[in-house]
Amino acid sequence: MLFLLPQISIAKSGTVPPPSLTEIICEQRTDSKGHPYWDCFTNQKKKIYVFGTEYVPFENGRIYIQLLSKDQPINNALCLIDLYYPDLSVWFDDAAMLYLNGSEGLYYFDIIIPDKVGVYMTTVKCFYIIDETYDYADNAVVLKGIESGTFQDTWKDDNEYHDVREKQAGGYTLDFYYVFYNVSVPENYTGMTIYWIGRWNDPEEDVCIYIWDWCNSSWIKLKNCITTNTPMVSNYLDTSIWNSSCLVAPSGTVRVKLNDTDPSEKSYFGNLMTDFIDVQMHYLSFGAIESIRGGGELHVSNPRIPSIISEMVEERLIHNHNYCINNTTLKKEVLIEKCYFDECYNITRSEIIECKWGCNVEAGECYPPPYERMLVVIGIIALIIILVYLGRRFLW
Amino acid sequence: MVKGITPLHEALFLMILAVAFFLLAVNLNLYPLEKFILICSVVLIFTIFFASIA
Repeated sequence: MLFLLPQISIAKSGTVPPPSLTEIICEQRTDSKGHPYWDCFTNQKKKIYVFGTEYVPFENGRIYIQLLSKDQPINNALCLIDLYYPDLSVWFDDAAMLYLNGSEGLYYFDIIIPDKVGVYMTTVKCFYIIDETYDYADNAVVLKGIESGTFQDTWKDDNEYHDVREKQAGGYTLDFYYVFYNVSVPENYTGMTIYWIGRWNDPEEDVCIYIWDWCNSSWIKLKNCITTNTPMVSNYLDTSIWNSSCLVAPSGTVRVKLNDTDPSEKSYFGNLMTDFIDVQMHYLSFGAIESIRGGGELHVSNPRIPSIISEMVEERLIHNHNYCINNTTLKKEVLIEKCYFDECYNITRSEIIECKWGCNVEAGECYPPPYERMLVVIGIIALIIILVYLGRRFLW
Repeated sequence: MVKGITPLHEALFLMILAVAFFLLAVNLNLYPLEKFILICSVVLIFTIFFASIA
């Protein structure tokens, strides 16, 4: 069982807390007879440092922590992050952080900084010692969308993507799910995490993650969704809330669905690129569970730009490339340089367009409707005849 | 009729027009078959005019 502990921990973003700050940490433990008791201490026995930094919009951001116990790194922990927008609405709720392989207790979480400036508050809580089993997708079933790549491209975080593009079905929509076979629920199971790493390029809507509920035969929407600002999304399903027998079929099958939030949206063909997805089953591997919490902040600002002239951000088109992906699909890519005085960022915007009358591979554009094309042909022939007639009539 | 324009000038004018329309037809966003029909039409029309000059 996980204890959500009323602990107080103070840490500053970007720096290790100075010695003058006091950490008061209380932990609820259970004795050998199962009776709970509180264990509080003020020394530096356990530490969690949450590191953020100063950012400007559109930058790649990384929140990371170092988890120490008696100054020794803890590498077998489950760390969950909460992140709040400057307007105090929730961006991430209990999103599991990734452990940096081979590091000394480092856990991280990547984001793309949104254009909302202000203070992003964050808290992290870690539980240890936790181990995991990892299961990767064994199949992908696309209900709505155009697929390229295979589910095997999701096995590694290697920039090989399994792409699913929105398809016109009323609005532009995508709906597909991954199937994980032979997922076993380990002994001392504490919870499940679904990790997703990739990219979503439609700013008009988000993609939410669902898990199949085998008890009620329905999809359950998970808290953290994929946006254009989330290269990494995770959802932790604690065993105290989620019944593992409803998430994992008796045969060991888990289904995870990705579905856009607005299937009626028609302004942008979104493309969901999944680089990595897995299902992790966490289990307690040693003695009683320990936990620790910390907090910090990210500060997002438009440097050296007074807010009144923040709209004077300079945009410059660097590159514009249109090409046909296949006979009916056109991809438009625009590379824009956005400058805040002397600091510039390159932003790539891509758009997928379904060509109703086919895609012209040579010209890199959609064919116009047949009546327009016919008008062009007849118009040109008529123009030639008129020009030559007028030439002959009046010039010579 | 403008004075001093000879059949050679006329042929030259038609030739320039023919090339311009040919290039236009090649670069238009049309199906290959439509493009072919248009180019053939352009060539045919100008051939008729050339023949009439001769």
